[in-house]
Amino acid sequence: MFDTIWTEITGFFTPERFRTLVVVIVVIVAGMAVIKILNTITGRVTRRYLSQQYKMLIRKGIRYTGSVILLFIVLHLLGVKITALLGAAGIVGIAVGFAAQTSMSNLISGLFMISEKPFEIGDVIQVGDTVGTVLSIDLLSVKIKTFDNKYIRIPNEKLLGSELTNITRFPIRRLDINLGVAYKTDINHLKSVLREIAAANPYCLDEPEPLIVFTNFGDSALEFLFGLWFYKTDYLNLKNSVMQEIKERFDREGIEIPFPHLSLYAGAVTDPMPIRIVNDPLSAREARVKTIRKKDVPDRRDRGGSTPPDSR
Amino acid sequence: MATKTRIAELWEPVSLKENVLYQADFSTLTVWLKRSGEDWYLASRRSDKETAPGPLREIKESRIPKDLSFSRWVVGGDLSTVQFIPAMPDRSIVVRPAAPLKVPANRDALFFTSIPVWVRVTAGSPEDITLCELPSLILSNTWFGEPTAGELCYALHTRAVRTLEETATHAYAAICPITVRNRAPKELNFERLCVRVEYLSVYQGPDRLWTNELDVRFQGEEQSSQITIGREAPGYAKQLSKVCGARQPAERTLLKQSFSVLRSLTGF
Repeated sequence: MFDTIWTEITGFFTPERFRTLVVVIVVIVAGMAVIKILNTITGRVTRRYLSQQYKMLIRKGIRYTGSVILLFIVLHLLGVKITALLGAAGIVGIAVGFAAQTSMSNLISGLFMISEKPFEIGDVIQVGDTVGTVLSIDLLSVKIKTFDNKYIRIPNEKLLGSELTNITRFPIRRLDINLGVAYKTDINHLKSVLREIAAANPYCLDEPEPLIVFTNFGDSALEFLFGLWFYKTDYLNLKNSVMQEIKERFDREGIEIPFPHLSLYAGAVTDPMPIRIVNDPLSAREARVKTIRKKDVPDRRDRGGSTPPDSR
Repeated sequence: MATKTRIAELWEPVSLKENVLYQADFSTLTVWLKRSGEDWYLASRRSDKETAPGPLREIKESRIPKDLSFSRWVVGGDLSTVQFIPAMPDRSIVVRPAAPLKVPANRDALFFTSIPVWVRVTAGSPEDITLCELPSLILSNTWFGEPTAGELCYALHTRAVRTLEETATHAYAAICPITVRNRAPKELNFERLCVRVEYLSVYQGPDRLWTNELDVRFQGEEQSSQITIGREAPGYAKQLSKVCGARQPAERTLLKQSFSVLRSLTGF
């Protein structure tokens, strides 16, 4: 049995075939080394001039193209007719193309997106409700890491068809705070207090100047927009500090932040439901007595002697 | 005379006794320091108001704030001397005069600006190990340039005084003499000037700290200004010694955008 197998193996590996096999192995090893060297040289040459995104694309292009060329060389060495293979590959390609329409769509969207360059690796983007830092931009999808450390893959087709916000594209941003103050507030005093808060906060940029806009006469408050410019990495520092400072300073200055009050009406022709705050101690005591008496009276359910829910 | 003494004492090296707590005050910054064996303990705190400079002195542990948190540095047993070194801030400073200044064409103007220094805490003398750098005064951030591409700087509001007598004497602020030369065909409406402090050294005089002289040649709004940095200590005081080198290698001449007119960037 073993003799037969051994005879077949030794019969297969004729000196000519053995030579071809050695040549193929040498070609594969040398080809892979060449691809790696090319990638390293290209990486070094383009390090200063190209963005990470383009560098990654070039690296992948070299690797895939080099691998295909290497494959054709190896097939040629093994005696496979490449012309016939290419013809077959064309037919197979059409079939695969039909089967992989989504992937092709993603691929083409990826190419469009790479040429348009709406963001780069390291940018913080928002797509729909998802916000995160771009980890990689590939031909089929973009991978992002959310701030709570989740890994999200967004297909390029979806990215191209939806609204995308690049939050960190520009170095400075504006934090908009909507404020409501009581109608009795002196507006000039409020504006000077807000300017002082902005000036005292080191994370708030001195220039561009903070924006203070009287936006609306609200239902229960005068509404203002307080816009503070900041360097893009200071978002949390500014938001945490300035919100606290606004509250503390408003408390000190006696500026009231009102909350909505709701009045109930029984109907159009009637007066609003009368509400009276009673400070009279006697009335308060009477009210307490009434409450105690009400507690002493057994509940209707107890008086009726109905079965407790637990015993059912 | 008292100020002179304080300035000299504030920046002088001090040998630390073991297991003794020390305190030093710089403007709004207070620093506590203790050496214990090979380890040094450092804490700092800020106050809202500027205080008089206080050189490093021994203090009882019962007199320090209870919630103070110390950072620990493994310095080694061979070093026992601490020195505070006045350094320039780590970013450029946008100087904004209290009122816009106008310099007519082909005229020069000399201003003196006080720049709050950063306190570099070093173990050993001259500086062996830098432990940390702390700003003597926290300056607000500001943006110099377009919102899409510019430079993050510190903001400094100044009176832009024209004579040395008008400058306030602070132990923790360095005087920077700036000569603005308007070489543009029209007047220079100077509302902000970006001072590249990273190229400036700090010099100590008998009563003040100084930086190199700056010579800024304005050549028009669309063109970069030519900034020349004085190689030596400024000539306005005698007996100046260099106490801190520039953060960036000193270049004789720089071509940078230095002036900026106020633009409305607050479009709603």
